[in-house]
Amino acid sequence: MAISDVNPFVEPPRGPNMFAQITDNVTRIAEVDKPPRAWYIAFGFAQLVLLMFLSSLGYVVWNGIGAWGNMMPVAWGFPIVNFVFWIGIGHAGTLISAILFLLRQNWRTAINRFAEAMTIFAVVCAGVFPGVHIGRPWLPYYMMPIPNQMDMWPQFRSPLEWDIFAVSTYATVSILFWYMGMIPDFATFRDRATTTVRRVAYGIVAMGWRGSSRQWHRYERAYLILAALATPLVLSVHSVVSFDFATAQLPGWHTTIFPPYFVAGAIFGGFAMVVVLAVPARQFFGLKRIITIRHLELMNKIIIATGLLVGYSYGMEFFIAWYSGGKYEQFTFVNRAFGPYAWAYWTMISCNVLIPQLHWFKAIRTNPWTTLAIGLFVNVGMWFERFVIICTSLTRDFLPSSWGYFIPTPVDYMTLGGSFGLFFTLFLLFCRYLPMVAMSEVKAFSPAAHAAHAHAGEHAHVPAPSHAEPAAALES
Amino acid sequence: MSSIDKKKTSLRVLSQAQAQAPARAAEGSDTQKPTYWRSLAELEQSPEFLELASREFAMPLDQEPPNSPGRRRFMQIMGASMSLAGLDACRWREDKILPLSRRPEGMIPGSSRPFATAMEINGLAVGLHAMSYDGRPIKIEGNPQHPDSRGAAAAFHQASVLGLYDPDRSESVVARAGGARKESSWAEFQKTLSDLSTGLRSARGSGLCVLSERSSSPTLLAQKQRLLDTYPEAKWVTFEPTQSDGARAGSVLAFGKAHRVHYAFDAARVVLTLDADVVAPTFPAGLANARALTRLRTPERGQMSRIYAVESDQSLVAGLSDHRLAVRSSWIKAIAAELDARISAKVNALPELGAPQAAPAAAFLKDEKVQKFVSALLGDLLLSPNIGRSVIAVGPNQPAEVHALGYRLNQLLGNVGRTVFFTEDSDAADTSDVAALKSLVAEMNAGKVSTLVMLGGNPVYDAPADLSFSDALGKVKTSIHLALYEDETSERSSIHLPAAHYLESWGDARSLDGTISIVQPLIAPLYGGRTASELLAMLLGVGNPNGLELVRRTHPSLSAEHVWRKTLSEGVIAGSGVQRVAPKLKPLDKFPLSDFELSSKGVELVFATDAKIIDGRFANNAWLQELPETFSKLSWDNAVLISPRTAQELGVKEADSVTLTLAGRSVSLLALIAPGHADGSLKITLGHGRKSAGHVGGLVAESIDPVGGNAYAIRTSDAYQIAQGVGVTSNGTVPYRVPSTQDVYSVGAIGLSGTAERLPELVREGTLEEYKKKPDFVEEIVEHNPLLSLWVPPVSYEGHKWGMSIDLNKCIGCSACVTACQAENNIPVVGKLNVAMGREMLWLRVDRYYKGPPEDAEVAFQPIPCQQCENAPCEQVCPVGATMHSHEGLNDMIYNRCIGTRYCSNNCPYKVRRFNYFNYNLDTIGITPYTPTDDPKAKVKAMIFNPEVTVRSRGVMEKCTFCVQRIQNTKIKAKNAKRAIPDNEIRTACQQTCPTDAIVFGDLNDGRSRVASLQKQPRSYALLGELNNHPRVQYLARIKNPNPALAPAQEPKKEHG
Amino acid sequence: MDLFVFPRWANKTKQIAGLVLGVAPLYLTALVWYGASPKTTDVGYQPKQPVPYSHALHAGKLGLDCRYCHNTVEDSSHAAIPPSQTCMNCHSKVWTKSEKLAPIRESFETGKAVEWVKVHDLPDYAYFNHSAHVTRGVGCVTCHGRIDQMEEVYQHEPLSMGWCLDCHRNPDKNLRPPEEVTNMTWQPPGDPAEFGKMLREKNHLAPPTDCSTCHR
Repeated sequence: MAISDVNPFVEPPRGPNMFAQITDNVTRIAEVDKPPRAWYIAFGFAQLVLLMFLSSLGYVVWNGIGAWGNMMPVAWGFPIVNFVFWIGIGHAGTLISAILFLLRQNWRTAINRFAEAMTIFAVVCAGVFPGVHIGRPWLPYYMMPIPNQMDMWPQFRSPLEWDIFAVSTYATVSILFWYMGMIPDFATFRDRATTTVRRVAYGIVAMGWRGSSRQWHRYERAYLILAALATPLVLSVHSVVSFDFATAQLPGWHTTIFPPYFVAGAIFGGFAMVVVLAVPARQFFGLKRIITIRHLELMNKIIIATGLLVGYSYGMEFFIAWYSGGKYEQFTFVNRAFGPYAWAYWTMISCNVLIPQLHWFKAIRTNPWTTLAIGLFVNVGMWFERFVIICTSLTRDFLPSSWGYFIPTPVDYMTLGGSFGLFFTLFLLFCRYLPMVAMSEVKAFSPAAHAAHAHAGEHAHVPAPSHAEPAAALES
Repeated sequence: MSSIDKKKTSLRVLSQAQAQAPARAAEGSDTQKPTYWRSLAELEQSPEFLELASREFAMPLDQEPPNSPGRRRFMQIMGASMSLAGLDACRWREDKILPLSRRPEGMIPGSSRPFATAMEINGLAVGLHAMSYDGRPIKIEGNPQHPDSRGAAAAFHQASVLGLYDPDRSESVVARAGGARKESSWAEFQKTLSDLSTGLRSARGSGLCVLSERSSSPTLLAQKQRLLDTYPEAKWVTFEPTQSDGARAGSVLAFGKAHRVHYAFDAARVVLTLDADVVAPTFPAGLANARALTRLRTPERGQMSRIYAVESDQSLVAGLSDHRLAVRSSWIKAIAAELDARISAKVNALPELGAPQAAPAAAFLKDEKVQKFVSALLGDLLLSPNIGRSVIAVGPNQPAEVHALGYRLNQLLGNVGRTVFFTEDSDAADTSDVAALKSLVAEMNAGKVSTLVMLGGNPVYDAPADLSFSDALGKVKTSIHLALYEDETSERSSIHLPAAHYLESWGDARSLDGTISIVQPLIAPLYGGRTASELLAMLLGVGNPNGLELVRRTHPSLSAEHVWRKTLSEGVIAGSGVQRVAPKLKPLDKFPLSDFELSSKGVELVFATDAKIIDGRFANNAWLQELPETFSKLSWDNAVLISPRTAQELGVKEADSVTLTLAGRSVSLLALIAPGHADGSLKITLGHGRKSAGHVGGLVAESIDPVGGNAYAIRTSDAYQIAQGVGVTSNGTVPYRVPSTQDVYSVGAIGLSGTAERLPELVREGTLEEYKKKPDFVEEIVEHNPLLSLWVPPVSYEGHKWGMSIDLNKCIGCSACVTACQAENNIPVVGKLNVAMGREMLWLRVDRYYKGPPEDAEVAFQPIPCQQCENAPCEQVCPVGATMHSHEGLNDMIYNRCIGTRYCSNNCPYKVRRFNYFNYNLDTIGITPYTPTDDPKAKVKAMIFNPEVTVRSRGVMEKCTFCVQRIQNTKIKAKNAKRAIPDNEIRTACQQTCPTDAIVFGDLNDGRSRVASLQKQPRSYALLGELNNHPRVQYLARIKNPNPALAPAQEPKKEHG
Repeated sequence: MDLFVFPRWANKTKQIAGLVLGVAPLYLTALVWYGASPKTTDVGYQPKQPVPYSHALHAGKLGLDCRYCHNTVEDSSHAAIPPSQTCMNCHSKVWTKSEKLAPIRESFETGKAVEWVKVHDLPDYAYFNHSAHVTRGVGCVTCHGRIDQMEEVYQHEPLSMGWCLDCHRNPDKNLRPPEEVTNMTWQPPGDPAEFGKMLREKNHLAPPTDCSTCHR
């Protein structure tokens, strides 16, 4: 990228040793012997929740999924709601790292790393559910195209089959992308390591990175290619997931608007989750000067934009229902807004459409705490969106005789809540041991990088050779 | 790969397939599961089986039921059914094969064959065919030869086979002294008995009393006579809690003599039912009535009968009726009187018929609706072509006077001898059961009864509350109770004797028209039970009575062996029906009408026989308990039904818990608001709330709650059928999920309007006039775009093309088909909670919809099996191909391939798919056919399974398959014999048992098949056809034949569900 | 402390890793593919029987027709194992004292079954029908192998779903005139495929491959 666009958002420190400061800000987090107490408290709590998650899943696998509230007609209850919810969360990361990268949105550098991490952990959480929600969790390999003595293949007409490929591809690429981005920073960790263990450990994951300009050159190319590969995935995954519903015949599911609607929702929810994570992170790990208010503000703007998209979709669903003249379709939507699940519907509307509008006020969208609050609301709203889609549609399908009402069991709540335990456990570990911010990239767009270009010699003392390089590499 | 799969197989997938064990057992008795014998060996160690074994092998040959080699080998089967799989390390389970050591002539192992037998309830027998799979009765069907069955069987008939294998059945003679329970034996009982009888003989039987269930068995009645000859002083009392005396007493009033009344509905152009659910299986000859009544409901004939129903509760006949008047049961007397007055005025009644009743001065008779109804009705009844072509039927709950009036009205209208017939009821007692029991209890209390022999029944539980039979029983020195279960009465008797199940018994019984059926056993008594007549024989001094001999002695006409065998295989004694008579009607004097019968003050409570568990005798039958009740769709409970308005007046809300109080006695139970129920009338069914029924029906001793509320607790001898002035107090809503399978929660205003909007399309309906004008009116009810498909149909259905046609005009909602399906397809019971959570497993459900204003809603039924769509939504979405399309157009469901994503169910517009959320066989009924168990009870339970159908385990989806096992077996048979399959040779279980022939299955490619012609009929339509699923099931629209005079009554088209 | 990059020896690990990652999957696949196939696990299963009944002797030397003992094979799904009675038809005359036959005699007297061990054991959810195959001209030998040469019977074919489907999809090579089904040595005149095709058309055979053919 043109060196001229110096990242305007990274506030000072200016001056020669600012690279050192950036490096310090980030690596310190992983290097201090004792992380802040907040971390321990959070981690301990996350562990407990994770335990609850595992025990509830164990209970379900042992006794049968009847332990959940699933019934007829609502054969998909919480598990699938949670699955779609987490998959949705897992969108912001790749979007930020890939699409914004291709669009040269340099400000992404401050947040892309843990956005990516978040993506991966969210996909992990999502991945748990399809596996355990099936009636016979010991047979998922029936869905894999493995040759077998039965001469049986999976049925490729089924959207669930498409899911498998979509999600696994997405997970693979995201992980590669994430890991690759971290390599230079691992090198930095390695080089600053004080203990052998750290040295060797980071040394191995750094894969012998020395920051030679050749390495940088190849690295940037590869990164670019991966970004290009990842970009379509951002759109494809949730589109495919939305097919689970869109291809079905059920009123409320059977609609063509789902793919874009789901993708918009995913980005919406994803960014909400990023701010929810970013605000405390910058607070507790002293990254205020790297993840700045401006970053939050920009994300909030994206939240407004995507929120409006989602709101539009909600409206459009009603319009189509009316316009199609389909009796069952119309009933479904009237029932959504005013039927037994109206409470869920209006929770969704207020969290996803109304509350984000507060971001129109600069005071609110530039205040980390209101940002955090609204982010939380959006996440709640996005969970309810999936709940509404699944439960209201299924409980009021074609024959009134098969109508029902879904009541979740305690196990349902334990599984839902528990999945956050998994997510946060992973995330906290990430914060503690991995580079939370893409140092090299941040540096690349810092004024210093500019300066560095002018008189490259000045900060030869900066430890890792990697730091001066990006600018140089980027130029070429 | 493969072995992994196989491991799965044996470990999981259908490891339960061993549930099939019996199945394979079947085959077992000759091939397959070895373990049978292994487990048999185990078995033989256990005492009950040792005893059994001795009996079995001691059985002399002549006692061997004919043509039943299978049964001779009962022990093998026992063993077989108990196949237990030990998992072998490297390979899956090692199976053993246990050939019979001598295979009887003509026996083909692994095939099921019907044996004719009969089941008697309340003195009325219905002939049955019991399907025996290698000596294991596994399914009950109707006996086509039997006049009251014609191949049909009610839910409780079919479920009775489950009772045979009920592990709660009592297994030994039990003696009780001062609260101490002591297991005893028949031998000891024999001793006790001989001591007793010497004493009794000397006392000429004074102090001896036999309390018997009502029975029409010639053998039993002959023995009764012999007993009374031997013990002149002895007393014989018959008590049947569901027996209402109205018909008998009414006939005495009208003819001076007890008669039975028979209706020929297939000759009736106008039918009026007065509180009479003539098509209900619990109604005398109900199955036959259903068949006859629906025969004239086929619009294709151009003519239809017109049915008027006057009743307090929704009844099965209401679903058929063209006009229905919901009034209190206690008002019907006045209505009958009104009819009598007005009809007598019109027809020139012969003087010897006496004067008519005076038109009663009842406010409700002046009511505009009632007036319209009555005059329209009269118009029809008195229409000249209808004279002698109508039927007026009176229900069992009505008092004698109404029955007498019914007879008189039929006489006046010239129906007697044309549509209404009489036979003499020679066995009828001369008092009502209640009166008889009352006097018995009086004697017991007076200490006049030293020995009370109870042949079945459960009086401690079901005798009128005011008699406090239990206390009286305490005053009897020796009380002997013969029963299938150690029930409430056994617990208070000094001796309990295990009774033989009717499938274990020799016997005989008469149907309503007197036709005698032979009851033959399909299996040697599992627990050494004996029949009532065997016990009587013992009383009469026979040491070791032989049921077969007893029966054969009663029927000398059948002594010739070939005659006997022929009779057995047919199941009925040809021409044994009772001669019809034309009794002379006596003038009836004017009946007084009580204030209650005229005015609308107070609330009446109607005690009704339960359609599922009758008087409570089937309370421990899980199939029946779980079967959704026809109207409330309530399973696992009973409820007091209240009309919407009355509920409002009484401050009762849907699903409240209410307390009914009657003469200081009270019972609390669930209240449900029943559309179309008569205002001021409450209905409660008998037989629920049992405390010692068993592990299914309630066993307080083991803290298993009773199911539902016990109506007997407030039923007294003076308020026996219809109680007046019952107190109702609501305890408000209790935190309780109603175990109902439809409208579990009120669907709310939107739901109601939505239902109303789509109902006309789902259950399409028209009048005879409309139909004549435009036979294909159903086509216009739904307008939709032309149905185009993206794909060329994947299969061209050469060869067979299976389809089904269901006639909504004939379905009475009796749910016999549901139980048939459950028995045929090994459908598990899920239990109360899971039903409440919406997880019932029944493959075939009967949807019930209400139409019109709640206060007099019309009811419509719609059986929903899997529609076997040609363009099936379920097939497209299964990721593993566990549900695939067959070349004959079936949606094959492969349990072993299913991993349980449940997507298919979500995508099924009919929601006919059922999912095993738990391992129901194991978790809820404790059958563990495939996990090793030493519990003989679990093993016995496993004997019920149909070998031809895989038993599903946890986590797999299942659904109706059009009884594919029947299709396959017939196809193979036919092809082996190089012959074509004639129409109607393959019959699905539901079709086979349907009393009204509403379900027709067959090959759509066979132009001459019934189903093909039915689906071609103009009123045939596909449910939700506009979705372009091409369902293979089609429905024949409901056609009503309303009286033009009442047309506006149809007006309020507001509908709700 | 010097930078940790990779020591020189680490270079080798590349190749090793490459080798392991490349070959191991192939090896495992092959292992499972072969090791877990019914051909390996099931074929040759030969349990010990309570009576050392020799098919080689009875069906082979003495030339008894299969249907003398398995007499329900043509009209039932099960080729019934004969009752002890059947054995006694002859063995009440010959070998009446033989120790080996003691279990048979005992069973005949007591009426209890001999506990034969099942050799050809399909999963219980697979519904195989002997009559459907025998009457269509699928020979015993096709699925059971040369019974007439087996001292004690063992499983000769995998009996796996794939194996069944092979034949249901193209049955020609396994068809023979129905009267020849029990003939262990029958050979088609001329080209088997041709002859089979002829038979298939003659007897209007179209083996179904619908799921419900075997699974209910």
